[in-house]
This record gives sequence, structure tokens and C-alpha cells, in this order.
Amino acid sequence: MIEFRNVKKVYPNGTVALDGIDLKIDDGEFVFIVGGNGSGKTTLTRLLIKEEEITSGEIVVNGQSLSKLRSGQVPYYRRGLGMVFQDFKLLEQKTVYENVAFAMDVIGKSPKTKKLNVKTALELVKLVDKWQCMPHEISGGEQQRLAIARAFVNEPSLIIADEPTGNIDPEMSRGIMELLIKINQQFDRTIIVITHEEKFVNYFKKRVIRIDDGKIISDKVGGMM
Amino acid sequence: MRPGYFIKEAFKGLWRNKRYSVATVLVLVGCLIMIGSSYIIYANVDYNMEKLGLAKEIVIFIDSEKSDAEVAAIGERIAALDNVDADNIEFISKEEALKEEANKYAQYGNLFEVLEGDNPLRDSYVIPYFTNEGVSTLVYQLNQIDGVVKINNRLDLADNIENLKNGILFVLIVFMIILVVVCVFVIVNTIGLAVMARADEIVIMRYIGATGRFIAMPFIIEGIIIGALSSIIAYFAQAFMYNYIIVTIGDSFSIINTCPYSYVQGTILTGFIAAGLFCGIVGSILSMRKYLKA
Repeated sequence: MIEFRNVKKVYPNGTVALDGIDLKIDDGEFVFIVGGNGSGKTTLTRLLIKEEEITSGEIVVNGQSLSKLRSGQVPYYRRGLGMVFQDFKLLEQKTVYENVAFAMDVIGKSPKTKKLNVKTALELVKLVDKWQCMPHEISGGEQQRLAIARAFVNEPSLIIADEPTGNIDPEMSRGIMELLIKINQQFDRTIIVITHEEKFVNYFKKRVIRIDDGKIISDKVGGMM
Repeated sequence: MRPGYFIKEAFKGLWRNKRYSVATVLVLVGCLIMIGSSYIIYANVDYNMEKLGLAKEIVIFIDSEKSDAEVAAIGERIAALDNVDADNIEFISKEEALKEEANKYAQYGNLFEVLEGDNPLRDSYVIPYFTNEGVSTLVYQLNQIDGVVKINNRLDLADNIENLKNGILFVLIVFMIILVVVCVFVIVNTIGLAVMARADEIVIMRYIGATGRFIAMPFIIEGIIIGALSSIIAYFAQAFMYNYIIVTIGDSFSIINTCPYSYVQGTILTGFIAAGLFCGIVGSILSMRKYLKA
């Protein structure tokens, strides 16, 4: 479970990015976080992955208060998260297989586990046939699916997708959202999607948290309208 | 996979920025050679001092009228003085001194034969001492001993050369500090470029839970490789250059004694490797410090 308790984030220049956020996300939930530019949704994500420190309040993930994590514990905390970025952040000099395997190399998984998990992840995102391709040899949608496979391969309990459809065409975007929902339903992973694409949000009828000016202005299931 | 992975990534990083890597090695080699050259000058002054007999020692001559027992007693009194290296005091009898002179000037053999009956030389003691600071006191104490007729010491010259040595040592240390800072700065820049080239990879590594140490290790190994390679190249370059200089000086200035490379090579090699590794490790840690935190 993820819990924000009266979280406030003020940047050193005085900008109030989040102002008294109270929020609960249960295990296995699928949540859209929406809001305009500068609304605070990216700050919320950065706090959740421990890229930023809160100014006041508390964030608790699976019973662990993030404020109490020592810097040496942060990498181990992040191993329970999967990140998907708008610009994919793939390694251009590595193949499809290596991009996914890299996530396991970094945390020192055994070659046997690595081989098995990478195969499962590539099957999930339907890229098994392209395992030897370089990222530039596959389409934008496939690149994002590859990024999802990398986020999924270490079996994280939470996947955070920051504008995952921002750089791909609408047809492929829908496939990406469906893939994330499949991971949520089939593998019982908590998924948080940061987006501003209202059509998806309304289409999928999931929980939507709307942030504006650092505050939650609505939190309801079934779309934005 | 860890050690193999780190080393592989380090070499990949060096190859990716090969121009800067080569430039860094060359700058480091240059700096190390300058440090080594300063040390060699210092070592040569030391070597020449020893050759010239300017080691820390005083020679005293004993009154010819003194009996062997009295001469021996004088030796015991000298050994009891402060600042005297009693274990290494050397007694040279007047007979030994004459023989030595005869050997030195063999062309005047007849003259020395004449002198054998009436040896004009005196018994002497060569007295090694520990520090130059206490020599004036020591000379005074030796003068007070009955039977000591002459005291030879080259304190002024030894002092001047000691001062020169200390001056060179001071310059060497200042020089070394500046050059080490330059080396560290150059390595920080080179590793910084390697970090920039892999910025995306590092971001991904951070997000998927790589520890700071895991992220930084290839870059630190890169710094170690640059430092080690530079020190080895500098060592051989220094040997080649120094041997060339020895030959040139030997041909042109026979008055100057140059020490053989073997006299300094141990210190040079150890110093270069230590300095190279220090610069490599410190430089790479400085450029990676923010990644080592989290």
C-alpha cells in the first residue's frame, strides 16, 4: 500500500509543488494521475521514487516510511519499483534482450534467473521475435513495450509510468495502456500512470486522481468526467 | 559477473573517450616525469655528497708523542661523546695512512721509502656523527681532549650542500603537490566525460536500483587503469631519458658524478605507481561522488 500523509513539497526557490497531499493507493490498484503542466504530478512521482525529499508530512510504501530510508537503502527500495518513461530511456547500443537483461545485471541476478525472467517479460510485451534487434530497428510503440518489459522483469510490486504514451501515435498508445492494464490484472501489480491524455483516462474507467496547483482536486473511479 | 563487468565497462569507457584517455595518460606521464626528474636531481646531490666524502664525519689527528695506550684511551673518550656514531668510529694508524698515501702516489715510491723511517703522519680517528646541528658542540668537545692536535671537518661545505638538498626537497614537494592536483583535475575531467557519455545508462541504473558503488566502480577502475598505465609509461620514459643524460654528461662533464638509474629506480617506480594510482582513484571518486551517495 502507498500512503501520502499531508505531504508538502517546497523547492528551495520557494515554489510549492505539493501542498498537503493525502492519498492512499492499495496493492494491485491501477491509478491514473492527471493534471496540467506544473500541477505537481511529476513531483509526486519523484517523491515516490525517492528522487526528491518531502518538506513535511510522510510517504509510506508497504509499511516503510520513505523519510526514514537511509541513502544506502534507497537502491534496494527502488528494486521494488518499475519505471516507464515518456522518452523510453533505452540503451541504444544494447539489443532488445540486453536492454531487459541489463535491469537484472545491475542488481546481480543469476544468469539462470535472468534468462527465464527476460524471456517471460519479452513474451508479455510480444517482443520475443525481436530479441536480437537494436532499439532503433523497432517502432516507437515497440520501444515503449520494451521499456515496460524492463520495468517488469525484476517483478516489482509497483510500476510507475510517466507519460508512457507521450511519444507514440494514438493507435500504439492504446496498446501500451492495455499492456499496463494486463500487467495490473494478470500479475496483480500496482500501476500508477501519469498522463494528460483524457481520452484514455475516460476510456479505461479506472481510478483517476486529478492534481492542480499542488493539491488533489478530485479522486474518483471511472474517468475524469 | 561483478569484477569482470566492472573491468569490461572500464575498458569500454576508455575506448569510447579514447582521445581524452590518451591525452590524460600523456599529461599524467608528463607530470610524473617532472616529479621524477626533481627527485633524481635530489638523489644525485645526495649521491655526490657521499662520493665527495661529505658524509657526516669528522677526522681528528693525534699528537705523535702519545703512546698506543693513550691513543686508545682517546678513542674511548670520543666514543662516549653525544652525537657520535660510536659503532662506526674508524682508527687509522700513521703506518696505515702512509701506506695509503704511498699507494695513491705510487710514482713517488722512492720518497715514501725514505719516509718509512721517519713517518711525518699522525694517527687519526674518522668519527661519524648523527646530526649537523650538534657538530659545533662536538668539535668543541674534541678540542678539549688532550692529545687531539687537529680537527678536520667540512661542516660549512656540508651545510651548504645540506641546504641545497633541503631546498631541492622543498621545491620537489611543492612541485609534486601542484602536479598531483593537476593530475587529479585532468582525471576528474576525463572521467566526467565518460560519465556524461553514459548519463542515460546511469539514470536507468539508478531507477532500477543499482547501488552507488555499482554505478561508480567502472569509472573508478577507469581512473586506476589511467593512473597505472601512466606510471608504467613514465617509469620507462624516465629511465630512457636519464640514461641518455648520464651518457651525455659522462662524455661532456666528467667532473660530475651521476648516480646510476638503479640507485633511484626503486623509489621512482614505487613513487610513480603510488602517485598514478592515487590520482586515478581520487580523480575518479571526485567525479563520481554524487553517485556514490545514493
